[in-house]
Amino acid sequence: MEMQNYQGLVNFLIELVLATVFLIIIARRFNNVIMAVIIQGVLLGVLCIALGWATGNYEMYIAALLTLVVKAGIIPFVLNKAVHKVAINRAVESFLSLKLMFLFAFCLVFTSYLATGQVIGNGSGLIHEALPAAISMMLIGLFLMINLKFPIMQIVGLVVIENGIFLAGIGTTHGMPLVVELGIFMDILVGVLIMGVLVFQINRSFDTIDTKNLRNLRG
Amino acid sequence: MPVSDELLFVFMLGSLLLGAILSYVLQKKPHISILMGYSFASLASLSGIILGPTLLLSERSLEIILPWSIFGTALQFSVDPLTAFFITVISVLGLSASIFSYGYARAYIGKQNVGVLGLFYNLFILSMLALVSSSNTFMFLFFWEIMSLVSYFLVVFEHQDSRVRRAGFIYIVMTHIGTAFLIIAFLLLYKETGSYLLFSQYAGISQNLSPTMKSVIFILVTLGFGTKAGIVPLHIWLPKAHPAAPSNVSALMSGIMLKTAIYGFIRITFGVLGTGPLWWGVLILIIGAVSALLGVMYALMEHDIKRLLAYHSVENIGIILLGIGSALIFVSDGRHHLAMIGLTAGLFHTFNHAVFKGLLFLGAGAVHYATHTRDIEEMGGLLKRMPWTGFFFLIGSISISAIPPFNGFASEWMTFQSLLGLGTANLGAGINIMGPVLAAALALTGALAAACFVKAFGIMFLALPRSTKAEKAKEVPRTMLVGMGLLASLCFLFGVVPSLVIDLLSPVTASLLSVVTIQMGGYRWLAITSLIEQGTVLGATSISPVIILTVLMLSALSVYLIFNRFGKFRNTRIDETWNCGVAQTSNMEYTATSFSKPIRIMFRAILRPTRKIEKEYVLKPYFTSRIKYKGGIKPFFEDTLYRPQFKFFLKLANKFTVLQSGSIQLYLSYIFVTLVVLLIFAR
Repeated sequence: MEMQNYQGLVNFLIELVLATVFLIIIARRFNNVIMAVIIQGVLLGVLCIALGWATGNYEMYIAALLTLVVKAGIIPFVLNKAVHKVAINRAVESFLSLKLMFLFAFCLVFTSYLATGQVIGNGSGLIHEALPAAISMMLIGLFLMINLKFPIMQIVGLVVIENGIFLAGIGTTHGMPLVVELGIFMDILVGVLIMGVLVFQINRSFDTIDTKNLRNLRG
Repeated sequence: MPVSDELLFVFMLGSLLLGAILSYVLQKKPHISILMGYSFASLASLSGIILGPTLLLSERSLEIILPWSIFGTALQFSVDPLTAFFITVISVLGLSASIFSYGYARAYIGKQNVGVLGLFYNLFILSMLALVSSSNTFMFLFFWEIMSLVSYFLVVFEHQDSRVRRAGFIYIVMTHIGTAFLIIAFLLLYKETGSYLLFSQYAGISQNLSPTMKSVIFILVTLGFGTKAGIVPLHIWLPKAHPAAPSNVSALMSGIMLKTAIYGFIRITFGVLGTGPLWWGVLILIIGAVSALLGVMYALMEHDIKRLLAYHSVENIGIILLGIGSALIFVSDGRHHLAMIGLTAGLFHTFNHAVFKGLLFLGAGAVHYATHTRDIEEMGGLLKRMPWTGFFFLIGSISISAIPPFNGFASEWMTFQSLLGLGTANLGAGINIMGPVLAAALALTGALAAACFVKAFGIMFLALPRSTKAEKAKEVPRTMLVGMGLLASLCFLFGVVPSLVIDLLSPVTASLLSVVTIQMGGYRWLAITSLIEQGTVLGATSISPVIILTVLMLSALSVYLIFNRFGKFRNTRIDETWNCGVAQTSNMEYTATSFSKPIRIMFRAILRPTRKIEKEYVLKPYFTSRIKYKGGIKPFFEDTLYRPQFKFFLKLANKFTVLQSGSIQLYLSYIFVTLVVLLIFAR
């Protein structure tokens, strides 16, 4: 199959994935955040299928299936359950205002394009948008973890980082070995499951999951 | 039979390893564990005692390559004369301490894990033997660290006591500071000389080093080994760590672990760096003199017997360095004949210090075993209760005070000769004045040491018991007495026939300075031809310990006979001491504090004593019901050298706690900012 023909489609899908990150930023209610996470997972799955079609690597289809099941299915489900169990107020609060967050996220995207521009040249044959978008997602994921007060949002931030890593993986290597992908899936799945349970447990023990209280641990 | 020597060496290391393992495995049966652990240690020490002198007398070297490697470096041991001499030193003390431990370790049954003690004890001796036999710098550092760690575990053996843990902490911090200097020195050596690691190969190549680089390495090595040896002011760990460790271990630590630093120092300066500038020797001489004087002064102020002995280790390391320093000066001038005297004196004193300090620490251990106290103010009257321990401790005291006919005298006499040799050597007025001044300092050291041991022995063993603990003391088990007796007889033997050791040292000086010690005379005379200029002997001096002994015995005998014949000894009446009609109690006795008071006053500028007197009155001001005296000395080095640094770092650390806000978001931001900055600047 000729890779070049699909460049446009794949790049477009990657841009869409990046756009879902902004959806997470602007979402003010938690249900919307989970919706955005599901969309992101579905888009990543579609991207996988497209890449599998483009490269003729059939393992990609398995990866796509896993992506859909784990990232668009189980993880949002677990997150939703955790929220319903612990949260009274399901509004998402942040330290910075929405406008500032938006501006900041744009700066991060700009930075990552600036930083990786030299890594992937125009004629390198690799998917042009994948690496900058992936780096942007990792940075914004970290930014979400920092900026949002609601603790479950920290898990969402982690999921976004993880998706960024996944994007970098599939976008720059023409498909990773299946074993590696399985490992990554297990990693994030178990991570989110444990964190979901932990959040519930912490809430039961301390009646709160606000990370502000961690300050008391300071020596 | 050259094969058998190599086998003996491997057997020595192997049986220590076996002893360590067996002792640990059998920890559930403490009696068998003790028997196994110390039997294998004794066996290994015995083979070391056979191996060392055999190699020295036959003037052979060993090269042993074991079929294993550590981190890619083959386990290659080489035993040259210097190593063989130190193997002898380690083994002699190792044997006595191991025999002593049979009885001593029993005291720990039920209280501590004797299996662990046996494990570390064996590993400790093993690491020291492997250290002195290491053929390259990497192995040297490896076993140096093993030795430090194992000795740390031994120091904190009684870890339930918080003071012990604190002592252990100070020890491990200080010893790692020392190791840091050594690592820098060895890395510099490595960088400057290429990829060679073997000591023997360094020797030839170091000639190409620039003089500055040589001096830098020399300073680093002095600081590194000095920390381990306990030179002033790097000595602060010694008086803390030695009392904390079990006594058989403190004997090994003070007797031989400090000596591994002397070994390393000689190995690097004489064996690798070779000829250096004059100031190297001057520096070592000054360090030695300061350590010797301050060590003994602080020792005089101590009432904890093991701390007192620990300060004496500082003093004796100083005396050893005086010998080595004068040797360095002569080497820098190319007069190897004179350097030989200093080096021999230093090494001889190394050996002697191992013997008598080992004996004294074992004696202190025996007293602690019997009385369960280390405070000499609580002892007294022990001589009647523990006659053999007292006798051996007395021999050790006389030896360390450098009084003939014991071994301390022989080596200090040689140190005097080398220092006085500086006075007449053609090295400029400064050195000519320095030599005799340092000799005077050494004489003062000896006198103060004698005063200190008059105090220690007198307060511990004589007069009436000062506490019920001392009153109930009993003589220690026979194995402990054998361990001490062995060392005591060596003190006497080497004091009367010093040439036994000096002959062993001949191949050592031959390999390091290409001068042999044969000219020091036979077993009757210890002769030193100190001034050889262009082959003509300008001055010579000699002494005969055998004749001194004979004269001493004859004079004692004649005094006894004369008094027996003409004196009033014939009609003696034995009765209680008349005490002005008051019943005699131990409160009336001379205490250690009062004994050392004149010296405390004399040297108050240096010691900075503090005193606090509290009086309780029945009727002021004439009728006191109670007077409380609290005396001490200011910990000068802790206060001026260590505490400011400590405070500085603590302050710095406090500044940095701002970063530790406790907010998880802030911590994440640190990572975030770092990432973004790196992305921008490192693209």
